[in-house]
Amino acid sequence: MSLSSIRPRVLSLVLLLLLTACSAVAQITLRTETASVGRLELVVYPFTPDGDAAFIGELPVQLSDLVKGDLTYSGYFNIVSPSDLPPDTTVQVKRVDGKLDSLVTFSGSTAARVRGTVSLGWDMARASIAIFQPPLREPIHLSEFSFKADKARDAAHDIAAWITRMLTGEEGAFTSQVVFVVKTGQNKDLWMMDWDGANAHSLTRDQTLNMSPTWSPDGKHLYFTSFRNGDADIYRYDLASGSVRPFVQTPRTDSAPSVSPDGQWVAYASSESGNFEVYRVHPDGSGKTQLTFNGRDDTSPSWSPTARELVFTSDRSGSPQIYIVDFEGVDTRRLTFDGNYNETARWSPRGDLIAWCSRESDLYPKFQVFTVMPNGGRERRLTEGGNKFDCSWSPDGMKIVYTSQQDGKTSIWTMNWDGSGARQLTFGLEASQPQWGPAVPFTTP
Amino acid sequence: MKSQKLGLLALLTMLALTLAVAPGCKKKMPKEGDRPEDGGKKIEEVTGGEDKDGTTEDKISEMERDLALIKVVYFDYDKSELRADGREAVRNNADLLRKWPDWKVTLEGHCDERGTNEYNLALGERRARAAQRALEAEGIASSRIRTISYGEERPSDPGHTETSWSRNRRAEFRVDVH
Repeated sequence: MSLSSIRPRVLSLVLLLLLTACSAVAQITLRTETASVGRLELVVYPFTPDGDAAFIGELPVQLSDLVKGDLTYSGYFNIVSPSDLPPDTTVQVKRVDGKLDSLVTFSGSTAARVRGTVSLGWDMARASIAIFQPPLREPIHLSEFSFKADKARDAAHDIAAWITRMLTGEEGAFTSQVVFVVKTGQNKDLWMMDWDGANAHSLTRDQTLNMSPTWSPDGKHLYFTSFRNGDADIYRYDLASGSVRPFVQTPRTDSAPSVSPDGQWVAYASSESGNFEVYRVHPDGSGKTQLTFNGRDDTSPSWSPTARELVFTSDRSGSPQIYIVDFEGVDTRRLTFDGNYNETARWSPRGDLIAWCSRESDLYPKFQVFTVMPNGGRERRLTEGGNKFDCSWSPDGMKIVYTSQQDGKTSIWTMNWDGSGARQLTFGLEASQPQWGPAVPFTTP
Repeated sequence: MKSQKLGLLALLTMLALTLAVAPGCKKKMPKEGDRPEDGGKKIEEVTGGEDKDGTTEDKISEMERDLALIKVVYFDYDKSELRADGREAVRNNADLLRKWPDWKVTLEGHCDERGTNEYNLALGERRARAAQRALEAEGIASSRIRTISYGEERPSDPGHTETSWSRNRRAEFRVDVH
């Protein structure tokens, strides 16, 4: 069974059980199912030129390499080299009536195969991609992708997303981007990069502190905290125009925005009442509602995928710990009990897990990334060594992006949801506070 | 920081120019709570010294001297309660604010780098507010005090040792001399 195909079903089962039965049953279900997780085997053959090979050049192989890299990184597939496949076998079969012998070929592996051809016009290229599933000889899926020849990387993300959708039903995170913060001297600016770390570029250059960015679910806006007007306020960045508008501005600190997955609400923390409380407000500024009420500080809200609940940090117990509050701000429950500093909780888009960072030492900065089920079960540590913090989920819930501080360098990494497959995305930048955005296709197949 | 220093210089320069070219400017009255032996008298000197050469410069250099006497309040790790040395620093700064009733002050709360950016914004704010309460308890009007939290974003010492961190857990008094 592939992870990709079972995980959503497991989740709906778990959710069902959470609703109908006691939570202990749900825990056992998830643990049993995840233990049997494997990845879908897939062969990606080098794409071939369709037309004048000399004119088309390296583009086909470049494209298939990029697709292969994407599919490997995604966490859904085990990419098998064609040379590692067991050979096909052909046997002679005698029919029962003894009248005829026939030759039957058995595939050495039932791994799906991807083949592609690429043609090239003046500046536009076209890739025809086919997915085969042995023993069937005809392709089970076919699609064409047009793209500018210098945008092979974007096309590869779209092709990988299509292959994944066809074979697993999952959308993946191939076409998503990550917003993050780069520190230069005393200032911090917002930056953006593709999900694999490519195309990193700055969005702001303001000579001020811009931090804690988060996405609107349609991928069109960022909300972030900025000191551009003296103290910390929340601003909205329009990605199409690059314009910045104030969103929440009180005379005190306003920070830590988080947009609900339905786009209806922006949760944030503000000290306007004297201490930090969590609020939610519509993107047009109406309907402001206070969700936490106590004399201590509450901050870092993050929505559940259904927008029914929020996870946040509160030091009401005397140290920062993770809590969950419902949409109305009525019921609050505590999620973390171990350690004296638990912060920056983020709810997986799949709903099954909450990731957060827990400080393991008071003596020096030393956070590690953990996950736990929303009912408090299956607490699990994902990272070790160095200082790992600022977690955020990929839009498909398969990966976590985080900040890693090691040997005096601060950079952004990703890992799979179980802690495997750590990969460095930023180099040579003092980068932190990554937030993973939605998957928005680059081109239309 | 540099821009703030420049801003302060600009303010002082403007003050000097104003005093030098405005002989008819209104005499400033000492405010309630001013101690006559320092604040009140010095103000008298500023406003009364318009026709005497050199007094304005004296005044400004005195103000600069006093600005340099403003102290930083330091905090224990993860704490926002004032220590004994912190209360002493607040008393010292309150004396200066009484002496210069036109001064307004912005209390900046700061943290060391060991927490998270978001939670440190809250901790920094608690430190700024603790300093504000202590200053108000010394009789400084709340209308003269503003607070702001920078969390861990503006360390005064870039190091990564306890010595550096102890310098970064602080509430700074940024004086606006008007």
